[in-house]
Amino acid sequence: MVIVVGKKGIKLPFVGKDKFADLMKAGLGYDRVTRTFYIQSLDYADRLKATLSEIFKDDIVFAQICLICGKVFPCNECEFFNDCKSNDYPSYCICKSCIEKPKLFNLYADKSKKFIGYR
Amino acid sequence: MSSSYSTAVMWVEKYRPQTLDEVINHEQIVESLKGFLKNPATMPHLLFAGPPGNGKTSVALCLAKELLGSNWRNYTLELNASDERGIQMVRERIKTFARHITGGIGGIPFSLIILDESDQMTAEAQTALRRIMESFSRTSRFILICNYIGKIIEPIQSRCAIFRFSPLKREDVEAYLKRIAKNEGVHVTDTGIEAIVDECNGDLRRAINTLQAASTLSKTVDKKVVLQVVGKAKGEEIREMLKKALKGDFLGSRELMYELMVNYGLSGSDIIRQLHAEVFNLKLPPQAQLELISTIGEYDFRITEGANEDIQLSALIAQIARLSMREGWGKLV
Amino acid sequence: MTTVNSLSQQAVMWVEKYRPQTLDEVIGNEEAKAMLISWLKNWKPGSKPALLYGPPGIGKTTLVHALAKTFSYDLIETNASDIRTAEKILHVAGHAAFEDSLLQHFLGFKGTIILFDEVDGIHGREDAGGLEAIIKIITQAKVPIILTANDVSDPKFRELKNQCLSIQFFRVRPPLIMALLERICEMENVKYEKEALKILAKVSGGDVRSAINDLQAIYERSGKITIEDVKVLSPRDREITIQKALEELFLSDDIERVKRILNEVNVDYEIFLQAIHDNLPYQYKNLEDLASAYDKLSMADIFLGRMKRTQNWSLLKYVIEEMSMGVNLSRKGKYTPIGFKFPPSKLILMARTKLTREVLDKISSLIGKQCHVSRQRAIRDFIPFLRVIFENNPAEAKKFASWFNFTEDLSSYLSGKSRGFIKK
Repeated sequence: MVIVVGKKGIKLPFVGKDKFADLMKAGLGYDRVTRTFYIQSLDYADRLKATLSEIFKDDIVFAQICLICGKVFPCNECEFFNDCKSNDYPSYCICKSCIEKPKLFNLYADKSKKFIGYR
Repeated sequence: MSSSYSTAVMWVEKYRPQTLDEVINHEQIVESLKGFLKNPATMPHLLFAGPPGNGKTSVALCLAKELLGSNWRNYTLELNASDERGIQMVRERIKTFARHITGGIGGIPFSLIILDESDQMTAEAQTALRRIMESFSRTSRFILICNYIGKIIEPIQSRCAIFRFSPLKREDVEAYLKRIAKNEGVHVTDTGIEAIVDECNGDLRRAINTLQAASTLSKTVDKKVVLQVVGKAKGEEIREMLKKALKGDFLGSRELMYELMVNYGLSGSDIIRQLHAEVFNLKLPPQAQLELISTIGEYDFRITEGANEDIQLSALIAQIARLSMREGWGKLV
Repeated sequence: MTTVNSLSQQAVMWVEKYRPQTLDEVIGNEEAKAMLISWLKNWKPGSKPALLYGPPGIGKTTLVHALAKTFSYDLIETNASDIRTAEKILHVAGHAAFEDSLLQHFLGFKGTIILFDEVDGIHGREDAGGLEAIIKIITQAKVPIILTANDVSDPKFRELKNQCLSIQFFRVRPPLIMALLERICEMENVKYEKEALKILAKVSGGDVRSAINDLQAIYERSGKITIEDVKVLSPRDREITIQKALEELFLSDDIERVKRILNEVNVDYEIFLQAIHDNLPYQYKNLEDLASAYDKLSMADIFLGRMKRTQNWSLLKYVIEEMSMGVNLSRKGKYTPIGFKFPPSKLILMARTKLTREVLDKISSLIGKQCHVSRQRAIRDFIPFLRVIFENNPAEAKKFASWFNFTEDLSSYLSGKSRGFIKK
C-alpha cells in the first residue's frame, strides 16, 4: 500500500511526458521548487488514483489526517467506511480512537479554528 | 512427543508434531522438504494444498523451526488471508516485518512468511500478492497454504513448489486420537472414536477438539457423548434455517441467518457450506437434494462475487423456498 | 438568522436553531474553509471571485453567512430561485458592486460581499443571459464576490470557472456529523446512545441538514435517541421521500419512472439497496415474485462487488438497473403498498450487536494466536467446542480461559451467561 498524503510532497518515479500530462489532467500539480507533486484538484479523484496506481505498480490509498490527534490513517480502518460518501480522498477527518472521546464537537471546533486560520 | 508444548491446554497444540520426523502421513512431502534443509538456498516459494486440518500448518511450522533454528519465531511471519482486510493490509504487515528482519545473516538463510487461506483471496488480490512475493524474494520465502489449489492463480502456482497434502486416512486419524486419549487418561470406546472420525470429515483439528470437548462432558467417551458434543457444537440453527426455507417461511429463515451471522460470527461462506452438508441430513428424495445442492452451489459462487453476504444468502433462501413450494418438499421435512 | 423565540420550543426547527453562526461551527471541508478565509483576508480589488461548488446540504451557503458575520462583512445575496434576469441582478447587486461603500467603512463594516447562490440553477432562456450577466459583474466588481453551485462540470460553466478561484466542497463525513448530532443532543438535554447517532450519521449520506432533521423527527416521536428509536424514520421532506421511492420501485407500472427513481431520491444507492432487501419480503409476499426479485437483487449486489473491487465505476448503471427495474419487473402479482422500514435493519442490527461482535472478535483473535489459525477458523472449529466445555464444565473451563488469556466477559460469552442474542 502506498499512502499518498493529500496536498504536498508526493515523490514519483520518473514519468514520461504522456503520463505527466495524464497526471496534470487528473488533478496533480507539480512544485518546481521542491520537485514534488501535490494534489491540486479532486474533480477526477478516481482517474488520479488509477493513474498513480499504474505509476507505482501498486494500490493507492489516500491518507487521512485526524484533526484531533494528528494521526495519519487510511479510510478503510474506519467503521463508517462503507457509508461515507466522501471516502478515500486525502483529507482531514476524525480517527477511530478520537471518535469515542467525549465532547467531540468542542474538540473539533477548537482544532478547526486553528486550522482554518480563524482569528 | 517433545516437551516444549506440554503445557498447552488445547490438545491440538499439545500434540502438534514439533519436527518433520514426527509428522505422520505425508512421507513423500517430508522427504522433499528435508532436501531443502540440506541446502536452503535452493528452496523456492512453497505452496501447500489440501483439505483442512490435515497437517499443512504443522509441516510449515516444523520446517520453519528446522530451517531457522531456535529463534525461528523472530524470523517467521504468520498471516491469514481472512484476518487481514484486503491485500493492502497483508502488504503492510509484510513490509513492516521485512523492515526489521534481514535474512542471510547469522546462519539464517531467509525469513519465512506463512500465508494461510491464500485461496480465499480474490484473483486481483492474488495478482498483487505475486508482486509482493517478487519484491521480497531476495530476503524471504513464502509458504502459501490453501484448500483448493484451483483457486490459486497460475502466475503464483508457477512460482512455487507445489505440495499436495492428501486427505488423512481413517486409520491414521483413529490412531492419533487413541494416542492422545491414552496420554490424557481419557477412556474412549471404539464407537466413540468411530463417531468422531465420521463427523470430522478428515479434519484432524476438529476431531481432536471434538475428543477434548467430549472428555470434559464425561469420563467415558462413547458414541452418545460424541453425538451430544457434535449436536451442541453444530447447533440447530442451520437445520432450522433450511427447514424454514423449505417450508416457505422466508422471514423466519432470514432471521435465523442474521442470528448465525451476528451472534455466532459465521461468515456467509460458512453458512452456505453448512447448508450444503445439512441437505443430506434431511429426508428428501435424491432429485430434490440434487437440485438444492445445485442452487446452493450457485450461490456459493455468487457470495464470493457480491458485496453483501446477507443479500446473497437471502436470495438463496428465496430460491430454496420457491423451489420447495413448486415441488412440494415442504411436507417432507 | 436568529431563533424565533416567540414560538414554543416544539416549533423551532433544529436546523435553524443550530445553524452555525461562526466559522468553527461549520463542520467539514476544512481545507475549503481555509482557502476561503485566506482568499477573503487577502482580497483586494482585482482579485478573482470565489466559486464554491459541491453537493447540496453540506453548508456552502451557511458557511458564507458565517464568514460574513465573522469578518464583519455585509452580505447581499441572490439565489437561483429568486431574481434571475440580467437587469434584476445588476439592479440588486449593482449598486454595491460598483460603488465604494464609504458609509459602510465609516460604520465599521469592512464592506460588502455579494453572494450568488446556486448559480448552476440558471437556465438558458428565462434567465436571459443570467450567466453572462454574472460574469460581467464579477469581472467588474469592486467587492468580494462568492458564488455557489452544486455541479459545474457542464461545459457551459467553463468561462465562469476560468474567472474564479474554484473551491471544491465534499459531503461531510459521518464522524463529524455524529459529533454535531451529539452536541445538539447535549444542548437540548436529550438522552441518546452514541451508536444510535452513528446510524443517523451513516444514513445521512453526508447531508448535514437531513441528519439534523432526522434527529429532531425521532426526538419528537420518542423523546430520546436510542438504537430502538432510530429504527423507523418518519418520512422526510426531500425531493421524493424514501417511502414513495420504495413504493414506486416495488409497485409502479411505469418502467421509465422506476429507472429514474434513484436519481430523484436523495439516498445513497448502497443504503437503498439494503432498504430494498429489507422490505422486499414484506411487499412481494408471493414466493415466485420474491425469488425472482431476489435473483435480480443478487445480480445488483454482484455488480456492486465487482465495481468496488475493480474500481470500475461504469458498472454502477448495472447495479442501479438491476435493483430498480430488475426487481420491479419480477412482479407478477398484485399487491397493496405497505409501510416501509427505514433505515435498513442491518444498520440497527450492527449497532445493537456491536458488543457481541467485539467479544467474538477478541475470542477468535486469542485462539488464533495460540493455535495458529485465522479468526474465521477459530470461530468455526474452536469456539463451538469451547462453548460445550464452558457451558458444561466450569472447572475445566477455567484452565482454558487462563491459557488463552480470556477476560471475564469473554468467558461469560462462551458459557452462555451473556450472549446478547437477538430476540426471536
